[in-house]
Amino acid sequence: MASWTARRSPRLGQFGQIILLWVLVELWILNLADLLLTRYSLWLGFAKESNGVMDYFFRSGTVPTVAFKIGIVTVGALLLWRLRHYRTALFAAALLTCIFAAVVAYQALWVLSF
Amino acid sequence: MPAVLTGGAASPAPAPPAPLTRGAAPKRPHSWVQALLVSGLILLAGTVLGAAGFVFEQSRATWRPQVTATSAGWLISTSHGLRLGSPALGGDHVAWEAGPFTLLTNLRSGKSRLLGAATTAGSASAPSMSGRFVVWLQSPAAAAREAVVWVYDISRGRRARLEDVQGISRSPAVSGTTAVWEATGDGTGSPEIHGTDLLTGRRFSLGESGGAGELIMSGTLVAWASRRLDPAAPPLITVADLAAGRRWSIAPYADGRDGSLLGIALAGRTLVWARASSAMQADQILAYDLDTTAVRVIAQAADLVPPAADADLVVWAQPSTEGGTQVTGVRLSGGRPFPVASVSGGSVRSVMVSGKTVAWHVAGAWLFDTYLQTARLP
Repeated sequence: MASWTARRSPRLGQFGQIILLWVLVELWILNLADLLLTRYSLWLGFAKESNGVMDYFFRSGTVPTVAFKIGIVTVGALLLWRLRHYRTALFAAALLTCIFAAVVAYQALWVLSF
Repeated sequence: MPAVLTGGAASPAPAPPAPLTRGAAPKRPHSWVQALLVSGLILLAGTVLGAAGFVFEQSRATWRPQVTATSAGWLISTSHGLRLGSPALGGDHVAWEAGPFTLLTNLRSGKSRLLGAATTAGSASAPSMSGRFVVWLQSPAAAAREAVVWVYDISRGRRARLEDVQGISRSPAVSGTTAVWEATGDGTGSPEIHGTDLLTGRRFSLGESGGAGELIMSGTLVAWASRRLDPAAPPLITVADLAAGRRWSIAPYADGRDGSLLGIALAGRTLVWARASSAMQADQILAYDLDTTAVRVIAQAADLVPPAADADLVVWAQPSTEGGTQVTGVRLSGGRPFPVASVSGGSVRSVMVSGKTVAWHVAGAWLFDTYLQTARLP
């Protein structure tokens, strides 16, 4: 994967790598917030998990849900950090964080509006 | 004499500049903070995007009713195919159910807020409300055998889950700070009436309900109508006094007569019910004083809309001679029935009263799918 990325992605400087680190930290925290807000909305009965995979885990119990949700984002974040020398990694992390922030902001406002 | 120029030793030539390289730039001390700021901007962009999406969705929300002031009160109508169903009136607020949604409209400000939204396949029951609390039942799916009894405290703006109920439960009821609902008994498995004091959290049970078709509450009185085992027998109205610990069982019409119970209401310590009789070809509204056991007919007409009551005021709707529907009221303490409003289009589904505010719910009107109109009595 690294060689494929190397052929197509410009290199990322040290400053960019520090940004990537912060963005990944934000992504991880947002993922946790998403999990808590979704769990709360489901408990309220005002929402339905439309993601089939997450719906399966929510039905399985809290521990498998937390393990899967945090685990998969942690692995993804570590993978992006492994590719930190490439600008594509920063772009992907920024895009993911932006989308996660939008989802969490929407969920938080929805919960607060009740 | 000038010094003679000599060709002495020359001063050492300056060192040639180091060749330009592409090595790493010196690390700036604030790069971590600057990187944090840049990542914060990414976070902010996403947050703004999510907030904008939420605001846009809310502005286009189909659950938001149109509230307009009329000369006598408010007109609350719905659009986008959303039907306003089963409203409840309490103080200056109207709570109502529309499919999976439960909404609350402030009659003073005209503003509405969403109290609950079941999932797309879910449903919400008709709400019941006192001046401060709204209670309702919410099912995750229309045919679900599990539902949740919810309460919303208007003064605090807080919602709480009262109980998860199994089986087919009826709409909960609330009066003052006490809520009651039907739930399956723990040991027996048969339906019971459960209740709670919403301020202290004290729980109680009123015993078996026999399957409440309609559950109402006023002050310390709780009443419900239930079918009997013999399908030919008239239903039974049970009234329980929480303060005195007394229970009454009243048959709304005589055994063996053809009839049906249209609705029940409590006006202070008077039980009011509407009954239909094919033999009489007219519906009747009767008032039964629980203390004196005196019964009297307060209205008789064809196609009566079941009554609502508060304190000594009873209101109902009946077809008028002019072709529309007349909303009428009477005070049980004395006086003749008086007209409250005349409805010209659509059919009146239900009437409500709280204090001096009367409301009527109309379906099939010309301009709106459904609407609710309020009027304040002098």
